[in-house]
Amino acid sequence: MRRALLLVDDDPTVRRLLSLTLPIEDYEILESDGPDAVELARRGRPDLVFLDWRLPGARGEDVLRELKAERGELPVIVLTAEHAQRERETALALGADLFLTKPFSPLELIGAVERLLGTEPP
Amino acid sequence: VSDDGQLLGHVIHRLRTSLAVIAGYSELGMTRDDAAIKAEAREAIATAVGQLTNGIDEVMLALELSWQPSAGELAPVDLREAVREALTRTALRQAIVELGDGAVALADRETVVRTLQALLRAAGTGEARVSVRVLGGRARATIVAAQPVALDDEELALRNARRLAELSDGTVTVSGARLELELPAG
Repeated sequence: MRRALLLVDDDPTVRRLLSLTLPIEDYEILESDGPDAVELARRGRPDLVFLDWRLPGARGEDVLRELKAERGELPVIVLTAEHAQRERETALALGADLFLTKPFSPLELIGAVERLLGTEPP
Repeated sequence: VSDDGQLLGHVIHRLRTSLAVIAGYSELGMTRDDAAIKAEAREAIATAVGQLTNGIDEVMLALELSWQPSAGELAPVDLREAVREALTRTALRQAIVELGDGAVALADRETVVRTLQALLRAAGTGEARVSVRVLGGRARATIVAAQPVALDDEELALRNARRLAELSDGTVTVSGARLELELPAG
């Protein structure tokens, strides 16, 4: 069964890159530039969310809080461009499952998704 | 300090995002045997390199402006020539230049060119339309970007442009996709 992934990033090039990197036959891709992320998660019922931490018009922190309030079990990978300890602590306290720091490698990305969805090859 | 910290965080985020696009698309371009993906990768990398260059230039300029910048020497400056010089170093894919009869400002030429370069960086990496004119006793250079420009304090290029413009008793205004440098007419 194809899993649904929600990609939340204000940069369309990053969303496109993420969708190209993931094996298209295994995943259905939903995309949001930020403000409609929670609504899209409500309607699309994704299995996993990639969430950019710095979003104009909709802070990653607020989106994460709302996502986890509605579906605490939903895995969320936070995409950051910094190593800021304070942001990591905030995101972890809100229930983020994993951090990926930009730039990330395709293998790192795919490995993170498989690990969180339990779809790692035997 | 808090504002500067936030600004720095935003700049780092943008630089690393461009780096992520370059790294990711480089790998895709090398590993996928698909002409369309390779073409897309070339395009995305070229744009990201432009954004990265813009970002680094802004950081360097901000650093320089944090030292005591000089107003330079005020003299008549032909804005048409200043625009032409500013356009020799830009990440814009295309600039449509409409210089008309031109305009002369009373300012330091080098500062005007650098202000225009900062404004062109704020306009992004797509297309922009550039024009100059005199209106109400002020010389104006107007850049209309392809997309609305960020208005908040997170936009380092705009902050730099404003600081530079103030050195020549000028102002920078932004409205949607329109950026305007206004200087005393010479």
